[in-house]
Amino acid sequence: MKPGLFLFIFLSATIHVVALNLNSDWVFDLNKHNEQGSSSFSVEITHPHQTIRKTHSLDKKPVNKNIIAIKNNQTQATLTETTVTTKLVIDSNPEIKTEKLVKTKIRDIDLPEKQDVLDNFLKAELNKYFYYPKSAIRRNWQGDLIVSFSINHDGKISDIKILKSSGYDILDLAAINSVAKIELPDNSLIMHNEPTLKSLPVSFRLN
Amino acid sequence: MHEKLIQSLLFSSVSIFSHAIYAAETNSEEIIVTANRYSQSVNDSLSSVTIINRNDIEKSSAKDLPSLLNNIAGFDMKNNGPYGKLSSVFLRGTNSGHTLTLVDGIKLFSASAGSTAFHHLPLEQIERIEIVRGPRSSLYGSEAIGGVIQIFTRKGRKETNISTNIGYGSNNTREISALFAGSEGKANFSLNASHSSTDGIDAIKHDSKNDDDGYLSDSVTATFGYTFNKSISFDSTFMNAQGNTEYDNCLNNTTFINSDACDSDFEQQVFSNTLKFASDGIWDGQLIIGTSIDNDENFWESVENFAFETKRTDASFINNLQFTENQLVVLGVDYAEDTVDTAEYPANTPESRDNVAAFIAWDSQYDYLDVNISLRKDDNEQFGKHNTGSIAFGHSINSTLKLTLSYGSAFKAPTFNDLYFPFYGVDTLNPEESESIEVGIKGNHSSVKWSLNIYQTDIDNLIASDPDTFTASNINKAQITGGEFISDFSIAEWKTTMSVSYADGTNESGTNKGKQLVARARDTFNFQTSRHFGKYTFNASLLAQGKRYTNLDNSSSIPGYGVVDAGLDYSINKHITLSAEINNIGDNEYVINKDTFNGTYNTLGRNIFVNLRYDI
Repeated sequence: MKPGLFLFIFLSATIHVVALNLNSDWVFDLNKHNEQGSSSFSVEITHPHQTIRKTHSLDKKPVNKNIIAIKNNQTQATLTETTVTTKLVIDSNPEIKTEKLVKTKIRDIDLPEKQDVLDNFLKAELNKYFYYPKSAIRRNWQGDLIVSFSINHDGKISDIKILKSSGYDILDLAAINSVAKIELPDNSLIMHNEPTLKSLPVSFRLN
Repeated sequence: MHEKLIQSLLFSSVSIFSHAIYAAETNSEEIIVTANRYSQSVNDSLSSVTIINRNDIEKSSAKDLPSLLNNIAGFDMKNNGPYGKLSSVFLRGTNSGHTLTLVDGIKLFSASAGSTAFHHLPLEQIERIEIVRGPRSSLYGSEAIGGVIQIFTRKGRKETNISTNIGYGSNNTREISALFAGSEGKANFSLNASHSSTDGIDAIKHDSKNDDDGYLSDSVTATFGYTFNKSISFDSTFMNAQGNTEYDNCLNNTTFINSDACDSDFEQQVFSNTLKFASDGIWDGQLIIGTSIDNDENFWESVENFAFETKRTDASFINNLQFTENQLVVLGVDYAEDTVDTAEYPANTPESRDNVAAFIAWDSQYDYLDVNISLRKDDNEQFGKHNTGSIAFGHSINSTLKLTLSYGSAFKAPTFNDLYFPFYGVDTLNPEESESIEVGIKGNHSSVKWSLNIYQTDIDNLIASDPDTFTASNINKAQITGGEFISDFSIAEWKTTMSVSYADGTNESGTNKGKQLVARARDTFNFQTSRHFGKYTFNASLLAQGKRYTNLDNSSSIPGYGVVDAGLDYSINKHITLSAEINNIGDNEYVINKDTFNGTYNTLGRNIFVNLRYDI
């Protein structure tokens, strides 16, 4: 064997050991960062509205990656009220599969125009803050996710959650971090006394 | 709808808007691998880069790689006639051996000549080309003075993909190719075979004798990929191209008699294996192992005249440590061995030489500043140790404008011909060395993308024939000052790319100090545009180049020229496309290469090509 090849293998092994050592040291920190920033990928920017917290029956479950299928949905819409029937399959624990049939009534008391203004504003804000994590680019990690958040009556963003995970924590976290940066200039876009809820599908794609 | 339903479920008591859902926000990025030796967003790169994808290749009127590259900002080329004749590609005014060429991560070049046979790499086997302008030796080692070209071979789409292609054109040029690609579970594969031949035209202009110098090429690419899980994936590609090219004015090795009945059998091959690994933490990386071959056997009136077989073995192990989103450290090791097999060198010539190198790169981003630093040490069996380094800064003025400033040193190892060729080679030569500085500004607006880069490269220890001893010596110096302005824009649905390149290279040593470097044009202008009209796609391009000198004392030159090409694609249905091209519409007679020994090399007059593509 040539001495050059021997040197290459020696240097490779050394660098590999150094990299692995650093990796194990830093993995912990990265996880800790996740825990601080977002337990089960929901970030609380402000204190959630008291009344909401009580009614979030599913909120306390770790919702990320759990919802695997939704069946039998029916929608009946009137001008002011929408009834939604959904069967939700929750797979939070591989051994326990829960199926739930839920009927929901949604009041829609806002003018569509005003909502469009809000949507466009949020879209512009999100485009400003969206980023593709560099390590995900390098690893060719791609995926689709759904992030939800609520806009409080004071215009603050809270309750950021991943409803459907991309399969990669780094991408989920990037979506959460981007949403967290949204700032509404004032509450003129919000009409409710109660928080406004939004959900947003996000695709991370590499060309 | 699903999202809304989930949402309404989770927050059932809260009133929400009835259409609270946007169309999916897509965060998609254009990726470049070659600039920093890892995948990064083109926007994050601090280098001047161009990406040519398969669509661009099919849209282009170029029929070979040197012509395709000649339409890209910063490039210039000369050839000894069209259709697979010896070609030299110059990037940013540097020598033809001053550009590193990789195919699927493996260096492809002739260790004896020191340059890459672009004219023998069939476009049919190319999926994508990444071009990085400016020095990259502190990441890649030898040759990366003017820049780096990385070619990715055809892989097809991952879902089942069959593509066949048949074409015919002027000078009895025929092309046929077939690609099959698919995937099964975690595995994907592709196979692409291509054959092309042409009667050609006379390579060198003669007053009396005329002979057509033809070209024949058969090539195949096979790829296999397997994704074990999200952390480990493996990719293997194999590309082989071989054929025969006829040329003019070769000298018999023993009798020293000229002839125009010259031909050469060539073979180009790359075999590349990549194992990529990623952890859930900060570490990921890749191991690339492969070989490449450049073989060339030359015949004088069908008698073997001389032959070179060169082989390259590459192994790279790269580790990336992403400490935070904005701090990345890359640690890499490269091993390379070049082997030359020829009867031309003296009996005691070493058959091979190896090179081991280690590099470290630190890429960081702060609020208003990006910094990329890299350092590399090469240890070469022949010339010993050599260090290179680079530093680049990027500053985003606002969301659309970005300023860059960079410095880089680079080198080129002496070729086997420089070291061992009889009556010329000197085995104690040092590498050619360069230093470059560059400033750039790029704008990324919604309808216009543009960039302006200005650079100066000083090259020292250039190897040339010593006027006293007629042997190779590190005697020459050169300085190149230049720039490129590139813009991509759309006007009334005409998708347009325009570039202006300027490369003023001067000799800085010897009797020809202050004279322009030979064979390259200082000024180049490129314009390409295309537009869809229903089932039709029209595209056109213009290439205009200024004067170039053909001898060292600048006493003779070739005037500038302009060529217009146009093409029309017609989609018969979604699977079948018929296309027709007319190149050099004006039938301009122009010259891009001549010398005192061979005279003037021919270029193609008006020529047409018709192609039928079937794609599912």
